[in-house]
Order: sequence, then C-alpha cells, then structure tokens
Amino acid sequence: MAFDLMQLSAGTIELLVPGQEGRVIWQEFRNKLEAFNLFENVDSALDLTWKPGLPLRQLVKKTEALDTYRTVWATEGLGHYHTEMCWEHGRVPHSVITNDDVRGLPAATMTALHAGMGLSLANRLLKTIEIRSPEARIYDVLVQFIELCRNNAQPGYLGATYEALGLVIRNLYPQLVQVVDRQLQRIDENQVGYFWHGVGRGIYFAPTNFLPFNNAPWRAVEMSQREPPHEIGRLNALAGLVWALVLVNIRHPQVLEMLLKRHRNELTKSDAFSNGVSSSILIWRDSTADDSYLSALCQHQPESSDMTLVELWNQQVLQACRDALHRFYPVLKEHDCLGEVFRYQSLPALVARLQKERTRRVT
Amino acid sequence: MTGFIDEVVKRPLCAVFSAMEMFNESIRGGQGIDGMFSRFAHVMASPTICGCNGPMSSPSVSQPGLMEAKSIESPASRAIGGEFTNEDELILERVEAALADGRVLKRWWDQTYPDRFAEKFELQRVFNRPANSFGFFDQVRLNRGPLPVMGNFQDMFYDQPRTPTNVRQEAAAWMRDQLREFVLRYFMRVSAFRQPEVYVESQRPDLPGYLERLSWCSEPSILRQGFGFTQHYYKLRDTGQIGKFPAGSESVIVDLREIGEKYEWIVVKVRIFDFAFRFKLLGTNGPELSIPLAEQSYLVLSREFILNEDDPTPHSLGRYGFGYAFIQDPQQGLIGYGPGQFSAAIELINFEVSHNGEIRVAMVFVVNRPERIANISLNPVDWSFRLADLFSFGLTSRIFAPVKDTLEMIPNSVDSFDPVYGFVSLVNTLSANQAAQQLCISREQLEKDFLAQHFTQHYVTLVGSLLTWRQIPDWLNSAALPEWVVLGRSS
Repeated sequence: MAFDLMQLSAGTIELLVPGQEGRVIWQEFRNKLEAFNLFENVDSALDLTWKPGLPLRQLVKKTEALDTYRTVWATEGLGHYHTEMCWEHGRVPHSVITNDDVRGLPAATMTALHAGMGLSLANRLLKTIEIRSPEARIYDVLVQFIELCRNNAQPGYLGATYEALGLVIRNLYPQLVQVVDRQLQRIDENQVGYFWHGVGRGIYFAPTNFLPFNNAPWRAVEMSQREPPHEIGRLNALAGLVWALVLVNIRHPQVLEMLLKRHRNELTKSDAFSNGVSSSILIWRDSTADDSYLSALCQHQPESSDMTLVELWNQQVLQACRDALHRFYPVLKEHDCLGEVFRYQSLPALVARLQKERTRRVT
Repeated sequence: MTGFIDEVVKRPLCAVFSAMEMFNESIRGGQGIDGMFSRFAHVMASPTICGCNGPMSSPSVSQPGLMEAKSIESPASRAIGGEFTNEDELILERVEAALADGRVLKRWWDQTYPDRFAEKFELQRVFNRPANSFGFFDQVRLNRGPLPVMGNFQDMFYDQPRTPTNVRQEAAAWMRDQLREFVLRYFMRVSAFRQPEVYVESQRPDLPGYLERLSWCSEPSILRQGFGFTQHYYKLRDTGQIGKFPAGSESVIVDLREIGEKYEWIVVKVRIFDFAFRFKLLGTNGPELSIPLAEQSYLVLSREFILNEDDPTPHSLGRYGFGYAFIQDPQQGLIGYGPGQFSAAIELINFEVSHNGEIRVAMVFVVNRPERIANISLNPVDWSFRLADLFSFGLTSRIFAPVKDTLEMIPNSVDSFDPVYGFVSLVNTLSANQAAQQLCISREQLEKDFLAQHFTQHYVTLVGSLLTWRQIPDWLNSAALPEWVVLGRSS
C-alpha cells in the first residue's frame, strides 16, 4: 500500500512539475517504483496466499490478468517467490525451473523466472557470509552459487541467473563488491562480466538513485564508471544500467532520450550503451512476443531541434533496436542462448559464432 | 495473532536490525546508505520474514552432493595438514593479490627505468662514497585500477677483489661464485645485525627496585639494525599445496634458487629494526615527535623476483638478487602508511659482478603513494573502552563486549582522522599554499622524506651486511660456515 501511495503521489507531482526534464524524471521514478513494487510485492499484487509447494504453473497463470508490462515484472517476482518457498520448505532448491512442472509454462516467462530465481539463490547464500569471513569462505560461497544456478536453471538461461548475483551484492551486501570481483576472476572470467552487469542493474535500482532528487537517475552513469576497478567491469556495469533503464521505462522512450541527451559523451565512448539497449530489447521481445511498447520505442524520434541528439538516437537506439530484433534475436533464440546477453559482449560476434557453428554442424 | 505480531512488530524490527548491520561494515558512504535502505525495503516487502534469524544466519545449503561437483578448490582447502590459524588464513588469502600487484609493478619498472618516469628527482647524496640514487612519482595501471606510485632507485659500490692484476680474472670469477652463494642462499639469513653493545658485568648483584632508578651502572641493551627475515608459508610448485614452514626453521630461509623449482612462492616476514616515525611540527630546529616502531611486514617471493644470471653480458660476470611484493597487514594500526600498510609495493635488491670482479648493488622500491599517514580513532566508544581497559587490565572490553558491540553500531560519520595530512591541509589552506611553496609543508615533501628514510635504511643494511660478507673466507664451504650463518641467527 505504501508503494501504491508513493506511485500516486509521484503521478500528482509529475503533473505539477514545470519543464520537460522534471516531468521525465518523475515519470522515471514512477516506472521504477511500479516495477520494484511488482517484483517485491508479487504476493499481494497477484493475491497469493503463502503456501509453500504451490506449483509454478499455477502461480504463472495468475499473471494472465495483468498487462504485458506488469506481467514481466510480476513474473520475475514469481521466480524469486517460488524459489523462496523452496528454501522455506527446508530444502535447498533443486531443478526449480527444469522439472516436469515447468514444461507447460510459456517460453516468454523463462527469462524473468530465471532472473528472479537468481536473486533468491544469491541472497540466501550471501547471508551465510559473516562479517569477518576470510576470502576463502567467500570463494566457496561463490562456487556454491554457480553450482546452485546450474542445478536449477535451464542451460540457455543460465546467464540470467548468474547475473542476479551482482544486483544482490551491490544493493544488499555492498561491502562484498570488490572481494567478489577478485574471487570471480579466479573462478571464471565470464562470471566477472555477469557480475558487473548485475552491479550496473543494481546501481540503477540503488536507493540513492531511486528518488527523483539530487540529479538522480542520471548520476548512476557516473557511478557505473567509478565503482568497477577495471574496464570489463565498467563496460558491463554501463550495459547493465542501460538495460535496466530501458526495461523499466520501455513505455516512455523519452526517459532513454533524456539519458542520452545528458550523457552523450560518456555513453558513446564505447558500445556498452548500444549493447545494453540491444540486449534489453532482445529480452523484452522474448518476454512479451509482439509488444506495442517495443514497436513504439523502436519508432520513437526525439522531439528536439538538437540534430546531434537525433543522430545519436538513430545510431545508438534505433539501430540497436533493428539489430536486436532482426539480426540477433532469431539466431540467439534458435540456439537457445538468450542467457548470453546478460553480460556485455559483442553481439554481432556472438551471432556470427553461433551461425558458424551451425554451418559446421550442417556440413 | 502470531501472524499479526510478525507483521507489525517482528518484521519492522528485523528490517531495522538488518539495515543497521551495515554500520559494522567498512564501506563508502553512498554504498552503505544503499545497503541500509535496500535491506530495510527487502525485509519489509519480502514474502517471508527472512533475515530475522539474522541476515548472517545460515540457510541449510550444505546438503550432501551440492559441493560434490565443485571443480575448483579454494586456497585454504589446499592446505597441508589443515593447521592454519585464522591469522594464517588472513595472510594467505592476500598472497595472490599482492603477488599479482607485485608482478605488474615489476613489469612497469622494467619498462620505465631509466628515464620514462612522469617525475624524477634527486633523493640523497652520499659524500665521498660511490653511490647514487633518484626518486620518482608516477602512476601504474594495476588490474584493479590506476595506482599513483612513488619510489626510489639506489645504486652503490659493494666490494672488489684485492689481488694483483695478473690474477684479477681468476679472482673475479671466484668473487662471482662467492657472491652467487651469498646472495641466493645466505643474505636473507644474515641481513640483521647488532650494533656494538656496552659491556655489562655479569657478576653485579641485583639491586632492589627502589635503588635501580638511582644506579649509573650500564644496563644490557640490544640495538639491532638491518632487516630480520623469517619464513612462514609456501606453495609447492608441483602440487599447488600450501603449507607452513615447520616451527624452528623460520630463520633458515630456503635457498632462493628453489623458488620456481620447488616452490611457487614463499611468504616471509621482515622486521625492520631501528625504524622510527618522525614528525616536526615547528621546522627543523623545533621539537621532533619520534615514535620508535617495531615495523614488520609480510612479503611474498616468487620466481619473477629472483635474479640468477651467469655471464649476462660481455662486461658482467653475473647478476644475482631477489625481490618481493609486500602483503598488506589485515590489521590497521596507528600508523596508516609504512611497511605492512602498503596497498601495493615491491623491493628489488640485485647484485652485479663486473668482469674485473667489482660488485655493485642496485635497489629498487616502488610503492603506492600514501592516502593517509596516521589513523587516530574518532570513535568515542573506542576511546572510552580503551581508557577503561587501561585501569582494568583489559577486563572492561571482555565483560562489556556485547554493550560495546551495540554502542559501536551507532552511526559515526568519520571513523578516524589523520592529524599529519590534516595539519598539512590546514596550514596550506590558511596560507594560500605558501606553506607548501616556501616551507615545504606538503604531502609531496612528506613522501620524499619517506623515500629518503627508505634509502637510508637500505644503505645501512647493505653496509652492515658487508662486514658479514667479508668475515666469511669461503661462502661455498658450507661445512666451515659458523652456525649463526647457517641457522640465520645473525642478531
């Protein structure tokens, strides 16, 4: 109820705030609040009673009454909720999204369910770390996390589950960010990418960037470049941040436009921004099939006389949308590799590699 | 009813406690606030009241089989014998990171020496002695980000054969063999030494306590100089097993030629004798604050830092030496910078024998520039308990530990204060930087003073080691070596 009240108040303030930028900031705040509320309070949003063991199929069915936007966030909440129920049942989750019960679930729910499950797995394991735990203990927990993800996720969506670690650590256990980065480098380089992508997503949802004051959410860009200690981290954090911003504000392209306008120099230094846009479009496409919000975003044009901004929008957003929907998505879907987009990497190179492998198999 | 109490009382309390746990973490302001609010919101909105059993409570994740497929082992799980204490583990878990930083610093040095430093300056002059040196400031890109560094290079004459010219060549070859053995096998065992001490008559009767203070009789006192190395941990090259050197063998530093062959790395501890922190508030003629410190630091030596080259160039008969990366001490003391407190540092000590038998030593030191010099706690709880402990022989902290823990959870915007850099900032602010420009009251000056002190200590150590090197007629005749050399009990 508190979240509903906040959303309502934000909506009222948005109407009263003068200037385009002020209204966009308040709109962004409302969107973030709505997405967060649907995820965290999925039980009240879907009127679920706390019954450990309720089949996932039944839970997912309850989202049918929601519109596409709310369905995506509620489904991620369900992934988290369902995994929490397993823990509360006194058992370590196993085959949460690979068992027979899941077979009848719509493919569109998979990404969000895996992402939600990852959040629960990460949080439950990280709770076992004590204040003065040596790094060897943290290393063991990370290995356990990876193992749990493999035991519970479908191979094609593993990336969605891995990436949740970064979000949980950035916002609930920020003291562990650097040590986890160090330990993941010892375990697997790819895990470092997923981790920082999740940290970028966490920075977007961080409380200090949540409220529409103090230059939020725009200063999150600076944080995504300041917090990681290396280039891979910075690229992933920026891609993750942009990813979260696109998905949360997919109904309001002017938020993304404002971000590009405010940070055009930082955002065009690398391809992390366009990677974040492409990856989030891919995931939204997979989670909603043919969605009107997606079409609107991919046709949006800035109402601005700033020709540099219009050009940037065309290059960085519209081109990224076209590539995502027509070049990348069909190949990634066919090869069951959507989890790969949960970290920064060259999507053209990934797609080319997959196509090459297919050609090799055929010949 | 239980559900109502859970929601109205237990959940908000849990949320508050969960958020307050962030006070126990040393974390930057913004991230700490994020952590607090995220935890609060998460516990308040979560479908279960998880976190009430303590956010650090342990879910039952240790189900059989969960870890069976684990293909990667942690360093601790590779320990030999499993006899490591918590302190051992805290040191060991820092080894690889220190080594990684050390390797980057060494590579950077190899690429930058002699004249590609961002800023190079004169450091020390040694009158009528064949030695030279310089200091530098620069920036190194470590794996974890850019690091401002400073350091110094010092090169000095060590020894030469005193032989007729017609046997010079043979003497030079003999010096080379001697030096190789001395540097790679014995130097670290004998690099600490005692200064001459006043003779004290052992027959003198003990005085009663009240008379002792009036006595003019000489008291036994030990004045050590140089560096005292002891070895503690190792990693075997073949198996990757990590172990602890047996008790009693700490001073018998392994032959450095075994590093890279038998050992992947070894960790040693160095005690730096005659190290004092000096600070003059009122100029060179004013009173000086001098705090003698028992400084020590853990170091890691790996193959990259060992130099063992015969005939490397036509003018050189051999180069032998060793180096190490510094491991940052897990504990933070009063002094925020110095041995044990460096976040990344290396030292290289390399000897070279020229074709005529002359031996020179080159020493390189690269270290992070200090962010603070001293750590004075600003925590009133900490002060009160320290004071109470003083009068209760430490009982207060033990008895009231839970109270102390709770009080320390109260937020405190500033944990500690650096009076040295605080003073530098204050006087420069008040004097519009004239203090730095005219009186050299600046961070840069303090950094140069540190480097100068580093130079002096290494100079003294090398000069001191020369006496040891000369008093042994044949370093290759191990059977004839005195026991204090073999066992590393030089001081």
